[in-house]
Amino acid sequence: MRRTLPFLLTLLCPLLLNGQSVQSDDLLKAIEKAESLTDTLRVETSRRGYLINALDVLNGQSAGVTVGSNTNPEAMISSVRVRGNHSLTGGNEPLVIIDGMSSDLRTLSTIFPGDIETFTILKDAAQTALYGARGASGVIEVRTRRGAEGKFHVSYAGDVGFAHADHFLKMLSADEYRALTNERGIKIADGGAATDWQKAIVRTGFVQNHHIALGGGTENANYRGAVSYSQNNSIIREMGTRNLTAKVDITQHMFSKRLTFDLGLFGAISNNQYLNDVQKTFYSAATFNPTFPNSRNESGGYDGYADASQINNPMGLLDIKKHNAAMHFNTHLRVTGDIGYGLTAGIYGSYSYDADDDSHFYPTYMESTGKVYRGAGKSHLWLTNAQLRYTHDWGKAHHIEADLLGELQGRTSTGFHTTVNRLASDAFGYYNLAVGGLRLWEGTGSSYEQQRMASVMGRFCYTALGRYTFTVSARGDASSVAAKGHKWGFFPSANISWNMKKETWLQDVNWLTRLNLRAGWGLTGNLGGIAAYQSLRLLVPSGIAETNGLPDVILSLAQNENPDLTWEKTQTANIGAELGFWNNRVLLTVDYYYSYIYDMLYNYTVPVPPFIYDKVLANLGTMQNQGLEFGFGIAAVKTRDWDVNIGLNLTWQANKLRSLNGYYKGEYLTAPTYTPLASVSGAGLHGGNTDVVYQIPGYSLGVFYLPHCTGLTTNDKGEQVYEIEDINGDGFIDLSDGGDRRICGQATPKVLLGSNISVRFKQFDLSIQLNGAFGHKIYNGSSLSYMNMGSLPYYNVLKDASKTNINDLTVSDYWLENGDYVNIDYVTLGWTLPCKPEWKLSSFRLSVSVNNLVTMTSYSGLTPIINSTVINNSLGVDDKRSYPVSRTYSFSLQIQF
Amino acid sequence: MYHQPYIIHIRLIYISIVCVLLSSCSFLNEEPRSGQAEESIITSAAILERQAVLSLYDHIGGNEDGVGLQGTYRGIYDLQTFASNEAIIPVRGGDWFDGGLWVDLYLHSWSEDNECFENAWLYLYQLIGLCNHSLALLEKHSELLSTERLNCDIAEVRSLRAMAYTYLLDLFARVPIITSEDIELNAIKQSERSEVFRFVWNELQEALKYLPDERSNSRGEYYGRVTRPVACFILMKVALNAEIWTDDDWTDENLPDGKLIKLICDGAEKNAWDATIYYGEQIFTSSANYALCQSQTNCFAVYNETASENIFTIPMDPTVYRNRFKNLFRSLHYQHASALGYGGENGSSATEETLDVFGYGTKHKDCRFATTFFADTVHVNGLPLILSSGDTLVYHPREVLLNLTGSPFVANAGARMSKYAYDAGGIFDGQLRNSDIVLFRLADVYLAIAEAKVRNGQDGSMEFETVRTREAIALGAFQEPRDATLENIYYERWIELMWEGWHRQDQIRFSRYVEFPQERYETVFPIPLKALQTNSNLSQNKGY
Repeated sequence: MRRTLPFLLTLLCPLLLNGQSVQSDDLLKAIEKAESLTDTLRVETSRRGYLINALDVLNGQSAGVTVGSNTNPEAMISSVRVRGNHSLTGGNEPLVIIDGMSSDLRTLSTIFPGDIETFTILKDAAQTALYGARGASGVIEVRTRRGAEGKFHVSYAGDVGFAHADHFLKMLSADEYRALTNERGIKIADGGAATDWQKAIVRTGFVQNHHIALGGGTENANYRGAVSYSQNNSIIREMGTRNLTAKVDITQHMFSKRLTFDLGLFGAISNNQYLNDVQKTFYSAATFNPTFPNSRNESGGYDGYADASQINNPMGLLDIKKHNAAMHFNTHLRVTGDIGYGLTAGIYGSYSYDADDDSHFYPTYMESTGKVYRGAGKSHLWLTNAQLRYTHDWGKAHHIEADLLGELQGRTSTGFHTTVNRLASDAFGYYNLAVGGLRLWEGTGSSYEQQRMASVMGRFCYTALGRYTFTVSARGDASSVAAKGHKWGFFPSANISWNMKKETWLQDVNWLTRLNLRAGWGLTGNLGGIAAYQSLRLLVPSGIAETNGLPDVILSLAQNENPDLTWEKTQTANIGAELGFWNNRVLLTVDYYYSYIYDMLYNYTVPVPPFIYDKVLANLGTMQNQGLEFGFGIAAVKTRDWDVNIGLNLTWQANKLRSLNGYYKGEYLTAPTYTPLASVSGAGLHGGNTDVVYQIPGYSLGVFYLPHCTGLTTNDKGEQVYEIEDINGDGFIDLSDGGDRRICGQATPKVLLGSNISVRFKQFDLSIQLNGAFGHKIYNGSSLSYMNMGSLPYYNVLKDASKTNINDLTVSDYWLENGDYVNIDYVTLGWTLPCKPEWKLSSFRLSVSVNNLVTMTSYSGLTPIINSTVINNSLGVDDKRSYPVSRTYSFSLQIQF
Repeated sequence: MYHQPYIIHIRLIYISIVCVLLSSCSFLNEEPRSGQAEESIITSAAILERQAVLSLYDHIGGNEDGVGLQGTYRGIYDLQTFASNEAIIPVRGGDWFDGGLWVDLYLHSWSEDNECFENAWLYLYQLIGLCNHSLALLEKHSELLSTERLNCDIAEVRSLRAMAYTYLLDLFARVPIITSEDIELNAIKQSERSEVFRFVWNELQEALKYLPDERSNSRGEYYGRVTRPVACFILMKVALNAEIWTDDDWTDENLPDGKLIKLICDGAEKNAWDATIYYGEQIFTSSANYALCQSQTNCFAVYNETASENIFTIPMDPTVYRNRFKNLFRSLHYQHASALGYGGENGSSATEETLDVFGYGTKHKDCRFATTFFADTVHVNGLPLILSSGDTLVYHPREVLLNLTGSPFVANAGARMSKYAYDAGGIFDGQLRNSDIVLFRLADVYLAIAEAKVRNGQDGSMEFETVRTREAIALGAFQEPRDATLENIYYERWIELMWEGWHRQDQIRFSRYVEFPQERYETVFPIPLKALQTNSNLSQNKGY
């Protein structure tokens, strides 16, 4: 059975990978019951609530795997992390392998969840060794459903749902705004209406998914084909996605099954409508003058309010179109042959093509004179590999497996874009660029990039007495992105595992049904997230100089090139155990890992002079990650009518940025002590001492470094202001870095929790998913702005603002809050028709779900589910960009004939 | 025999892996297409000159914060203007607090990591680095050019580099002198202020003989470039500030005497004041025919390339250049700007002191007030501007405060920047415009000569009066007579050069920058924190 899986991994040593540990039917069933236990997730989409996309399935399901908030699908794609952040530069997104072919999170997000059979998460270096550098940040292997021998099926799965926004910020209503400004003697621009802008920009969201799959097979061939359509009209007007996919997989055996062909085709077309500026939209919805009418003006636009220069009419902002049409095509072919003498060989090739078409339209009433942007990008990715495998047994006691692998990969990306300004009319949208009278030089460009990788790998695995397994692997990875002479890296790994249950002295211990121990060590290289050509001194067009009245384009150095650019390296050591008790009714896994990252790729701040630019991409710093992961599964009740299963995973993770100093071209470079990562922005909050989250060597990546507010105090005008402590006791308050600031918490959670409780009573089942995060903090930048009475009358404020009467925008720890939360991700109630074998119908199921039922938290802002993972300028800061909290109610139907 | 197929297979795999390894040598080579190596670009003299010389002028203006000599935010211009007492960006309720950035500049309570310092440092050393690269490029490809052209190009690049050093001299004083693109971090040492001064002087002296005596502010071959009159202007400024810039300890009360500072001018030794006069007069006698415009407003007209007074400008054309001019955008009230078809940020305003110097609210109000500021009732197209609150927009110049929060004049306190003519062709909120940004102009030369003469014990009244009465004569108005004393020259410079980024330098030269002797260290900004942290050879300036 294993050999038919079109999956390179499955040719290899099964004991190596705990994700592969589907061994006995017993255990398989146990794992199905306690989904969250091991790192193989069997996807039972039927038991779950509405899924935004396939990434949503991973949320809270496996220890060490995090998926960002699903309110913004665009941001969600880049937020998936396996064991946190591994690099400062990018390349933190795990590798996605779909049926053995290299892919990415974006493609995975377009696959219909119902087409997926299993996710396998590979985390340890020894596990990811097979993928080398590409798998440096973890690997998500996806196995899609296939046809099966002797069965011909047609199935339909579909759901329809509605989303409803039910939680908004409590801003002043129009009347309260009028009353308060009147009481304070503040003149306002009264538009004569009453609009709740937060509600104006939302609607009842509508979601639907439809999926039809056909499949079947004979002894020598099987096939499966599926088409799906999904639509998600978000609760925010003008925002949504539509997605059409088609997928065909064929497996065929030849020559008495000695040769196997696997052929797959996958295509997806998606249309996406995004918000042009998420923060500006929600900042405006909260604070735009509530007395303005929610209606178009005589000229068809929306009235702005120039005095509130940092925001705009929220409905007008929704008139800015940011549309994307994406197309993805992939095909792959694998040929696996059994040569005899214990040898199997396989060759594999895959080709993917992605095309993106971006169209942005800014009406004249939203952007001075109007603007249209059109851009297109194409990307070709090919991968080919050849592998050879030898297995041999000497009696029952000795089993060896040896593998050789060679692999080549190339990616070529091209793109072009153009921008026009001064539109003749808004009526043309983005459909005719000729309506723009002005084409600025800087508005047009095109790009080309090519990256290539080559790898060779050898692996040897020896199993003694069916219970002691030793594996070593060595691979060479080379990337075109690294500098000349630094392209190849050598990355070995070693792993041992011990199936203790097979020891004679444990055979009679009946309550213990499973006991596996394993330990591993590995070195991995990473060059992910790095653009090509960083090691070369290149000129790019940079501006215009005029000679004799004619424009001449001048070319400038693109960057500080780094002729020594090479692999970032991660050494990981891990130990783990899997235990099963009482016929695997209770399962427990424990894993500890420690990884040390060195030659860390990062855009280091370098001294100017001697450098021309202040950043260079180099391999200098070091960082460490460690974590402890628990998986726990219990089949609490197991009778004919009742099943109660509880799965729980708990992750403790700690990151420490050790150093950003190091030798570059023989010179010792020292990093600035404080590097801001995220700050608050908005009116009155531009630059200055508005940074909140920092990267500071010696601490976790993303720590809060803030002045300490001892409370509110009344100033000479009778307003409440933040009283800032003179931490260094030098007699005056210095809000800058290195002044009166202190480290006061981290932005990334220390502990993550995922739990699933499922109950079955006869044909009814109930499933509840809980996710939680603990030990981190959130800076409530929204309240800093919205509680500031000084923002009146141009910016609306919270109802509570006049009570506290704060008139200050100083960034301090006053608005630093505990970020702990527990979220009920979904609750699903289902009913399965007990089908009789003589019926044409083989399964029938109905279910109803509520997604995002409730969040329990002490956090005072809109939601604690913000970006607490991705290292970017929003990390840990709730800064006026949270979506209104919404719930989705959906109904789904599954039929199979 | 039995094992043969097995061996063949292994060999095949082995051979194929070796093939892969061998071929990977070229397989892994990078061949960029949308960027190109410098060597492959420079194929002719014209391209060499464009790359080595013209390309540098893309860095005089800027389109992002902190970059360029003027027009953008949070860089050199902001330090020269908002750290002086000429203008202020008050906190206006929810706007313009910006973490105390503007308040710190105004009160001189800045910390070492103020982003303006960081930006100015990076920008100037980047320009210097690019100049050094250009010099290396000219040397490498010297065979493409005649000796004469080569000398001219080298002179132009060195002048531009010297100009960058004059800004460093003014802002940070003790800075490293870097003259080659291949320099090791360990070799970087700060020079004393007087050494930097001498370096700048000598560089410009050597360059001067090769620079063409052409106009830089007019469209044509030299548009926006450093020509001889531009270099003379820089030399004049360096000489004028010689007392300050040759002082290696600016925290003590001793100041070198300008009469005793000896400078070589075209081979002849002169004192600082005679040198100032000498290079000022070089501009007067230039064959490029500079003359004061009839009115100051001509310098700031929409199409000011023809202004006979302008010496060095940042070329602007909304359809050609990326250079931004955000100074007006930053100052005007939101609704004032939008009535003009621009965007505005309702920020920068004249200080109380500026209003006093202009005689605002007195019967002696200087006639240039009306073109330098928007004040009192705002008119657009001849009609008073009605706000959405129903009120008429009135700027209240005297209501300006450091923090206007809670004031009834929170949005409309302060006289706003005007100076530049209204340009209906401006786009991007009026940030991309037609009027070139004026950096150096002849009125400044007149006033510098007047000042040098007075400091040298001579009479500077002719030059002083020429500038002082020009606008009044143009308008047929009366300008009350004043003596050409140092104090009056100081005030005249303030009035004439308001919003042009000179006032901090003037305040320091006229000993008006700090109130107490112990604050003298503030006349020089601290070496930016990041520069110190990334280069342990650098030490902080005194007092910080």
